[in-house]
Formats: sequence, C-alpha cells, structure tokens
Amino acid sequence: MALRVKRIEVEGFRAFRDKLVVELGERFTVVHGPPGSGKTSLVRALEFALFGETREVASRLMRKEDLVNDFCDKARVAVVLVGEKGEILVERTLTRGGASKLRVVEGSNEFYDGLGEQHLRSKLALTLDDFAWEVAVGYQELQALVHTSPSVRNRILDELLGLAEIRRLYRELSGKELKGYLEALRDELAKLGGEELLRNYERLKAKYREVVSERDAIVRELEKLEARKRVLEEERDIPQARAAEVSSLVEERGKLKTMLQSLGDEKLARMPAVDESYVKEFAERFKEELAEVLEMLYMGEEAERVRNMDVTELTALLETYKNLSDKMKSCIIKMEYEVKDVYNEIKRLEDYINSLENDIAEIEAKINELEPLRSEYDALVNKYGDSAAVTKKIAQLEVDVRALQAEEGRLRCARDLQEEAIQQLKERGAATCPVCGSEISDAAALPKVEPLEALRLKRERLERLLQDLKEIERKLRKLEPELKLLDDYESRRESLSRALDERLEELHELRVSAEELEERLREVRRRVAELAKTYGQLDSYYKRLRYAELQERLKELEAEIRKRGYDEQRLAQISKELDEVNRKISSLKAKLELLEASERQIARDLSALEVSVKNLRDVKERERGIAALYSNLMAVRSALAEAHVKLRQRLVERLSEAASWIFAKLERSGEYDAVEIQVQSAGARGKRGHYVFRARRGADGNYVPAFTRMSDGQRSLLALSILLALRRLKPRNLAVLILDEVVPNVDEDTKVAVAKFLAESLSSDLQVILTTQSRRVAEELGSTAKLVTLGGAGAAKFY
Amino acid sequence: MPASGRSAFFDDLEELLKDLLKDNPEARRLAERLLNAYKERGVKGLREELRALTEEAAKHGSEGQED
Repeated sequence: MALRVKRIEVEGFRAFRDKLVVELGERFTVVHGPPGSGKTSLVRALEFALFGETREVASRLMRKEDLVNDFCDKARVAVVLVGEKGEILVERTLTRGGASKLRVVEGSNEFYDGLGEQHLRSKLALTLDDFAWEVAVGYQELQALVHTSPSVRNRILDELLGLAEIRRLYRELSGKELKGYLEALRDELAKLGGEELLRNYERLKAKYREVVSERDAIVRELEKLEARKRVLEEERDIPQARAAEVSSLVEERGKLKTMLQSLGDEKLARMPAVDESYVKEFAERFKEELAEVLEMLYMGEEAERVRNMDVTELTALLETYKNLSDKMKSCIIKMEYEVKDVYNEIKRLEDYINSLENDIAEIEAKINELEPLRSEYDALVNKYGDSAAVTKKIAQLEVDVRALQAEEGRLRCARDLQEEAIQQLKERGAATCPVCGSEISDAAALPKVEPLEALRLKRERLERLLQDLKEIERKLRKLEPELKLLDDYESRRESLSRALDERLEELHELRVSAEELEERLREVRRRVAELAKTYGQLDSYYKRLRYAELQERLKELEAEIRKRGYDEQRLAQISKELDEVNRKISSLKAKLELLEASERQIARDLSALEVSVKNLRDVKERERGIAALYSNLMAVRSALAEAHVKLRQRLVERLSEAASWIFAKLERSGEYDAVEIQVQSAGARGKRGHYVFRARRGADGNYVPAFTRMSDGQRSLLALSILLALRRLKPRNLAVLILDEVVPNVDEDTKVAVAKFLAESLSSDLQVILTTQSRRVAEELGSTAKLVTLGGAGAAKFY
Repeated sequence: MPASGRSAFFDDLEELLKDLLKDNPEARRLAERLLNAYKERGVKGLREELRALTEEAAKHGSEGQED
C-alpha cells in the first residue's frame, strides 16, 4: 500500500504562525524559499503529524512544546495521504502546555490518539528514525554518513541496510536466560542425586524383578513337590498297613539289629565260632586272676565278691570287671602317688642332710679359725693369771705408783726449801726456816734430804709394769668372748653331727621303702595289663557267643516277616523319598519366606524412591528439552552471525552498484566516475569490520579512498548517492522522498543536475519533494515539477 | 503495491538461515519460528516466542518421560 502525501496544512507550528496549506505534486515537488522561509519547518510539520514529534525532540535537542509558534497557543498540522484505497487524514494538535491530540480519518473510520497512533503505525510501517534517514533526509544526515567515525557509520549503514535487525535478533537470542534456567535445572538434578539416584532405582527394580522371578520359580517348584508328596503318601499307605500287622516282629528285628550293631556286626561275622565250655573255663581263670589283682590293690572286699560270682553269668562278670576297672586304675594311681611321695620325702631329706652338712662345714671352718686364740689365752693365763687376777695386780700397782709420786713430791719440796735457806745464809749469813720459822745459822745443821733419783727410777719401773699389765688385761678381755663363741660353735657342731647321723639313717630306711613300693607297683601294673588283655579276649568270646545267638533269632524273624507279605524295602524307599521331598519343601518354604520378606522390603524401598525418581526424571527431561533448545538456539545464533556477514556482503554489493550508478549521474566534474562500498577487516578474530567508501578516479581508473581524496561537495554527492541507492533498494509503504537542502555545498549546476536526476530517475517510483534556496533550481525545474514557494505573508521570520 | 523492503530483507535472511541450517532441521524450524515472531511482532514478539518455546521444551520433556 504505497502512500503519498497530497496536502499539508500547518498553523501555529514552528515558523508558521498563520495557516498554510501546501498542495504537493503527485511525483515531484520543489519547495523553494530563502533561508528561514519555513522549508525545513514544513518537513518537520509532516514529521510531527506522522510521528507526534520531530527528530530534534526525539534526540532532546528541543522540547516538544517549543514546536508551537511563539505567537500561538497551539499548533495544528494536518496531512492528507493518498493510497490505493483512498485518502487518509492525519491531524495532530499540540498545545503550549505540551498536550497533543491525534485524529486519523480513513474513509468513514476515525481513530483518535492511541488508536490513531496504532492505525497510523500499521499503515506506515515506519519509525521516526527510518523516516529521518530514508524519507526526509537533510544535510545533517548526509554529513553524518560521511563525516562520522567508522563505528557510527557502521551503525548507521547497518540500520539502513536492515542488518541492525540481525544484530538485534542476535542480541535477543543470547540465550542467557535459557542458560540460567539450564544451569538451575542441572543444579536441581545434582541436588536430587542425578544419575546415581536413577542407577540405584534401576538396580533396585532389577533386584525386585529378580526376587519376584525367583519367588515364582520356588512357588512352582513347591507345587510340584506337594503333588509328588501326595502321590508318595498314597503309595505308602499299602505297605504301611502291612507294617502295622507285623509291627511287633519288625520292632523286635530292629532291636536285634541294634544289638548286633552294638556288638560289632561285621567284625564278628568274620570271626570263627567259639565253644561255650571253653569260654566258661576261660572265665573261671579270669575271675581268679581278677580277685588276686584286687587283693594286691588292697581291695579285699571286691576280691571276695568276685570269687563268689558264677561264671555262667558272663555278662555280670564282664560288667563287674568294667566297673572295677576304673577303681583299679585309681588304686594304681594312688600307689603311684605313694611312691612319688616317698621319693619326695627322700629328696626333702637329702636336701636337709646337705644343709646340715653345709652348716657343720661352716662351723668347722669357724672353729679352725678360733682355735689358735685358745692357746694364746691359755699361755697368758698361765703367766699372769686370769683377767680378774691381773686387774687386782693393776690396782695394787697403781696405789704403789701414787705413793711413790707423793714421796717424790715431798722430797722435791724439802730440797727446794733447803736450797732457799742455804742461799739466804750465803747472802745474809742467816736464814729463817720457811716451815717452822726458826733461825738457821749453819747449813750443816740442816736435816739430810734423800736423793730424788732413786725414787724416780723406782716409780718409772712400776709405771712400765703397770702399763704391761694393762695391755695383758685388755688382751684377756678381748679373747674371752671369742673363746666363749668357740665353745658355742663346738657345742653346736656336736648337736648337728648327731642330727646328721639320725637323718642319714632315716634316709636309708626311706630308700628301702621306695624300692619295695616301686617293685609292687610294677607287679600290679603288669598283672592289670594282663587282666585287661584277658578281659578283651573274654569279651570277644562273649560277643561271638551272643552274636551267634542273635543271628539265629534274626533269621527266624526275617522268615516270619517275609511269610506275612510285608514289602519293607518299598516302604523304606517311599519313606526315604518322602523324607527327601519334605526336606526340600521345608527348605523351599524357608527360602520363600525370606524372598517374600525381601520382596516386601524392596517394594517399600522402591515406593520411597518413586517420588524422588519421578521428580528427577521430570527435571531431567526438562533439562534435556531445554538443553536441546539451547543448543538449537546457539546454532541459530551462530547461523545468524554467519547470515549477517553473507547478507551484508550481498546488500553492500547491490548498494555499491546502485550508488555508483547514481554518483556517476550527479558528479559533473568527471573527476570520479564510479564509487564502491566495501566491508574491510571483517571476520578476523570475530570483528564485524567497517564500511569503506572508495571512488574511481577518472584520470587513471584507480579506486581511491573517498574521504581523503574527495572534496566536501563530492563527499556530499557520494552520501546522497548512497542514500538514494538505499531508497531505491528498500521500498517503503510511504513512497515519499524528501530531500531538505541536502547539497548546499555544491555549485548551482550540480544542484540543478541533482534535481533533474531526481525528477527523471526517481519520481516514477517515489513522490520526490525537494527543498532548496536556489532560485535557478526552482526556475529550471518549475516546468516539470510542482513548485511551492515559501517566504510570503504566511511565514513568520521570528521563529 | 511495492514489495516491502523489510519483507524482502527477511526473505533473504530466511533463505540464508535455511541454507546454513540445512543439516540441523530442529534448529532450522526454531529459526523460522523466531524469525516470524520477530518479523511480525518485533522484539516483544520474539521474547514471547522464546518464552513459549522454553515452556514447550520443558513440558515436552516431562511428557516424554511418562511410561
């Protein structure tokens, strides 16, 4: 549904204070006017009517209410669009306060505000941005395309080519939420136990099936066995009835067999038969031998009882021997203990004798050591008397010595006094007796004093004698206790020797007694051993006699049982089989009980696991579904990235071709005859690359970078060529192209050429509206285009 | 009525995606659904479609497990 603009009515909007109605040509319209005449305002009025705002308002370069003319309270723009289905009126008002209203009328339908916007969008399928870049292009847009940074140019061109849509898609399909959801599911799976839980569950299920299968097999086996049991029980009834009839015989036979078994059935069967009278004689000898042995063992009473026994009662005799056998053994053991006790006593006595001998030897040694002292003592006593006599002599000598000392002192005093008196006489001629005080005149008159030397020698001799005696006394005192000790030792030696003699005699007696006891013990042992052999022989004779007797009876019984028609073998066979069947049934029932218990337990465990497993499977399946979706989404995303590159290449090639053709038409100098657009540096390390514009130089045919080689005007023409090419390649519902003074920086001829190109090449598909200040353009195109001149009374210059 | 440029663009894109995803039928179907949603209802529609697909994938998973 290609729409075109038929009429624009504007009042109170930007430069237009008064109402202005502009009728547009169906194919090509030139809007001419000087600067400020309202050419751009007219374009913005159309923009405002269709989108409710202008690009300046959208990019916040001005407020919406500033669109209202300064002298008006409100602005009103009405646009009539024409399509195949008729006209559409779009009327929009804006108050100074910023309130805006919309009315859309199509045929008999009217839409207001929100619904109107919606209706308008569906008709136009265009955004304000699309309108600014593809429908109503101004000088600023062209400059932005050629004078901006590569990244901005990329964005603009991607947007114009539609590739931005792919980028938006790519961004939207990042899958972040899906990945988060997937991770959450995987976390939940891990919490629930994951594969391990499932494996456990499957293992348990397999185990359950195994148990059930085994149980069923056992039940079937049990059924078979029960059936066999019933058959066997029926078969057993007939021989059992016969068995009841011969039960007493069978019982007796059983007993006989038991008895024969206890006798040693097979061994006895191989032995020759024995004569009863011989056995009796043998038993007699055995009895006598037993009695004698019992007597040897001091078991007189038992011996007497044995002698009184009747040998025809062989069982009693053998039994008596068996009973006495232990007792005899006890007696032998007792004898052995007696012998052992005697030997212990001998040993003890020998130890004691050794100890006595050691003691005697020790005392002997001490006596020998002390013996010389006795000779010394005897010699001293013979010379000086005993210690008491010596003490007495010492006391006498001490008295004598003290008397001599006193006499010696008296003599020394007398001599000293005489010498003093003699000295006085010599000095003074007279002296006074110091004792009596009498006058002494002659020294000769003085009494004679004995010589002191003889007295001193006597005293010293006595003193030496006294010392010698004291030494003798000390020696005697010292020897006396040792001699007393010697006496003690001798006395003790005597008593120990006596004890030794007694013990030696006792030892001899014990040794004789021990030998006798040992001899007796050996004899008893020999006789008991012989008796045991005899007993064995007698027992064997007894068993053989008994065996022959029992065998005879057994034969009689067997004959009787057979005679009565009792099939014992069959009954035994059935009983045996029945026992086997019963045993198997019991075993299987026990096993069945265990299996059923196990089955119940597993069923309980399974039931407990069911909920977790169901939950886990649910989560797992969700995870699987989401993982698949995520994987596919990533594949789509990857394909989108690849498609982006391919599609861009395709679009750029088309664009390049179309733009080159247009540029060749507009560029009048001939310096450049073609242009091309390329994408450079794309793909390497994930780079999207950037657009590069190149121009072919007419002089040498080489392509050169457009931005560095071209003039400003040529670059404007290049940008215009690209935008026009895009417009041709990308049809819109609104088949209108408005060029608002797009190339002001070129000469008049070029402006005319541009206008003519638009009129000739584009106006067949598009409704072209060109605004220009150029009078020449207006004049030259005036004949072929609808000419609208602004700058008259309707325009307000003070906007 | 001229063919919509946007429509032509999406036709090209769809064709390319089909070719690129020819070996992955599930991803190809997914691409078709998403592209249609975006083409008809824009980003909002695309998001809604993605949500619906997520729900379907989760639901389909739990249904497939029942035995």
